[in-house]
Amino acid sequence: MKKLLLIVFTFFIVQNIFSIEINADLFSFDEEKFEKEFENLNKLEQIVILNPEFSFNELVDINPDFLNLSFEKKYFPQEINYTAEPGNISSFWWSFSFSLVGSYTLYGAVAGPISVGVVYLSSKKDRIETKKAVWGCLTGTILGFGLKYAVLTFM
Amino acid sequence: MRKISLIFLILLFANNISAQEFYRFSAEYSVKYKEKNGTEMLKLGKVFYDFKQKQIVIKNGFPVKEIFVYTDTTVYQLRNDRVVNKEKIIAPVEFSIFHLALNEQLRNYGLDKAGYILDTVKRDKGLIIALWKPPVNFQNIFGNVLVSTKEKQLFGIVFLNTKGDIVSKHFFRNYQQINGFSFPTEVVRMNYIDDFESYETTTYKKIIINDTENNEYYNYDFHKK
Repeated sequence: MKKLLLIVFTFFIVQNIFSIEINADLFSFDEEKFEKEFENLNKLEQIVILNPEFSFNELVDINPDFLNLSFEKKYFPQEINYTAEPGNISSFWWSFSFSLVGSYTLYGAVAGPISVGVVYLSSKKDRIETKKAVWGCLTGTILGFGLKYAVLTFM
Repeated sequence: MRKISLIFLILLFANNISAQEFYRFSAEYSVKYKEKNGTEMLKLGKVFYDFKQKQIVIKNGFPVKEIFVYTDTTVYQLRNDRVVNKEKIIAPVEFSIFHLALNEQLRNYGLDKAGYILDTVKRDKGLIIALWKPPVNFQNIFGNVLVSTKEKQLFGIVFLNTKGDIVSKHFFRNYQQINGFSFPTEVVRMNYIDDFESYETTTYKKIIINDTENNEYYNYDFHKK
């Protein structure tokens, strides 16, 4: 009986840890603090709006604060998330580079297939990207072995 | 026979019109983003969306003049009319704020279409708050989502992780009414993931519904670029 009570008690505790009280307070935030966070950006936005004919570099001359802006491109109004190719490098060149270096050094010949595997997983099993990576792997491997053969034969 | 065909055609056409009253959206946007560590970002431009084409076209004017075309699986980045980059995306265009608003599904942010299950509904301080649970197969990856509405309009969304911690809060404010179409002209977001904290605000102005101009942007042929 004691064991049963302990299980029920534990279950109750765990349930409470993972639950959240639903109330309107969850839908509030410190508006004053929020507005303050954007003071500088609001100022820069007004400069851009009032000077539409100026390029970014010209605006930097008007206000050097523009130089501090991040150019991170993933933030857009519709809020869409990314699954990028590895390191934002083309799948072909990604596998090509690994395969070329891998096959030239011989002992690293597995690098090509591994790089294809990375593309396959990071692109969420996208067939087009994986195909590009396979071609990159094949081209890189042939070129790597070719280079190795040429160096060993003629040098 | 001809008359019957004509009547049938008119009825079919009329039915299609009533099925999708709002089909195009365009607006000027401003995105301001700030991280707790001080990183700031500002983007200004114009967005175009056609309900039938299902592609979002972002014509960014600041800080870089470039175009982003979002399709269901890929986002294309164009500069000087040439595709310079493309990346896979995991969030379909159908779950964008534009598609949901045109389809009049913004009130629950399309969670029902995404397979979320309505669990609890509560009324508090003028808000109707609904707790949505993720689809059964995803409950170990995604947490619950709380959606609040005020005067039949989406007010806020609170995203929780699987442990029940708040990871993000979104607020939809200053709704504008355009011939029966309702759209929030300000979207505020706060993200809290571990030690990372960021704030984002997007404002929309000069909203145009069912625009008959700018056809090249609503059906942007980036393949030819």
